[in-house]
Amino acid sequence: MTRSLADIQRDFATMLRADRPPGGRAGIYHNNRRANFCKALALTYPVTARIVGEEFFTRQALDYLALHPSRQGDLHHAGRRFPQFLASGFASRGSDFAYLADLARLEWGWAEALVCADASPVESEALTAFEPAMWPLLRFSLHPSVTLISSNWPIHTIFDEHRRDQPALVSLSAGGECIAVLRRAQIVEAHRLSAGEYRWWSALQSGQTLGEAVEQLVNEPAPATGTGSNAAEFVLRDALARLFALGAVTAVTVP
Amino acid sequence: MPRGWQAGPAPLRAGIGLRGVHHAEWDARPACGWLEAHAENYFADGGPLPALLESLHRDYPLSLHGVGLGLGSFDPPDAEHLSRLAALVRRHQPEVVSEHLCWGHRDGLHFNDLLPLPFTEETLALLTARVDLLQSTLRRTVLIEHLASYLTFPESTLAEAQFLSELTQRTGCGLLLDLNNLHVNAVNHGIDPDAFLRALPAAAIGEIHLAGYTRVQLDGETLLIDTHGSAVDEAVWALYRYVLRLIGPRPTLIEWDTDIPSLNVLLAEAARADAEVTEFGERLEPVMAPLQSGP
Repeated sequence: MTRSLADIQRDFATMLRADRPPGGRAGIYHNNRRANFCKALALTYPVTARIVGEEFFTRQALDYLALHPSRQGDLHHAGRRFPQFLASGFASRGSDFAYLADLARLEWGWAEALVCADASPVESEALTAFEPAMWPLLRFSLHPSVTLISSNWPIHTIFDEHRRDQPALVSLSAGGECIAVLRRAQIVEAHRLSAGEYRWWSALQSGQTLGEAVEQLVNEPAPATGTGSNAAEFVLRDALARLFALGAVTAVTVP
Repeated sequence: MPRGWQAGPAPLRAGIGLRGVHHAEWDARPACGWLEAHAENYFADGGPLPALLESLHRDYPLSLHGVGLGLGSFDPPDAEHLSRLAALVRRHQPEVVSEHLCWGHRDGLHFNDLLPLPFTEETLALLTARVDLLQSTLRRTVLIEHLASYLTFPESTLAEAQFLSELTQRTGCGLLLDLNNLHVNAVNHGIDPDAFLRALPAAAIGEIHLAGYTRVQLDGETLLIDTHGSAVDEAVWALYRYVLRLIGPRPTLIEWDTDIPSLNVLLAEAARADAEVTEFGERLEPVMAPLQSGP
């Protein structure tokens, strides 16, 4: 009996999704799908892939594929949930690999920052154009590329080291780090933030006014990430200067 | 600048597939006939990738080669994917746009591969509608590339070349003739390359692809895998010379996607393709009609 195109493709899809490859030539397609997916995921997560090695990475990638098969024709999107997948796989069990999920968050932020919309940063004059009395009421639009990450582990250091040819050993007990990933002048960068800066940037990004963002640093307890205290190391003038210098602000507005 | 392959195709010189590892090497703007970029690699809302493509297109003719639409999928194409492709084509106004004769998704899942189709009247009707949709969405003619494949379907009632020929007549689309795919299929399925080539409408062929394959043994038989991971094989160069004699020169592309060497290696492959065309031009006239003004 002749199968319809709909049935042929449904049968083929079932074959592709099976745990094991079928015998014969169809197995090539079963294998290609997995290989293409792992290769694309390793391109999105190059540092994670380098750290854990090909065999381990492939095993994680295939488990991830089984749970979160691609739903778009462009594989760029397929890595979106990989950090969550790694977190549920490792972080909850207190595994040695628990830091991988945060590292993957950094790398996903990097991949997204590469392709997000263009927006022109404003200089700090955008702020000084306002009377100081108005400053607490101002809202900052952050560049669409900005991703903020707070980790219990030194993932910025790990990320930086493993982009070199000869990475130095990084001690996981070196303490947590906060990071801002952003694109400046078409180049994606990852910058370390203090814990205070991280909370302040996060507040600004969520739409709080400058006044509210500063106030929450004083009122809220420091995150339990070991990334340092908030207010102690936070100097607003310095933080503002750095925020603008990194090109992270695209507009300053009065609500 | 003329747009669309009928009006002004990529030049009759060899081009190179643009790959991420070579982005910095293109800064020096080495001599090359044209560039082909995988459309999906430049699906970005902004940032350095579209900016790079724009800058390269100021110096080289450009083809955008889609790999992710899965035109022959029974389920409709992903509307967002199609609109991103249309936006990319609108922004860059490439000289050529191409996609594949394949399927890639079913029941909401995408397999991100170029999957083979049975060649039937049902598939032809579906592909006709899909190519019409693509061409009307992009407001231009596209080239459709036939696949390298590892299996055929007992359901097929048409020869592949007959299918392709019929598709060009029904939709006005052009063809992207991949000679590596043809050689791979000749070995894998025992088809006759000469019969395949002679059954195609020569005037509709707007571009040629050349690439390398890998030879494997499966269940005691030799099978060729379309890996694009090595130099163009001598058998494929021989096929290229034969096609030059048969239909005349076409914009020709060197593709290399895995174990990618330095750009110089690809430029040397492109120079060889140019040399083949030059030699052909001095010796022979094509036996079939050369590239016409298109359908």
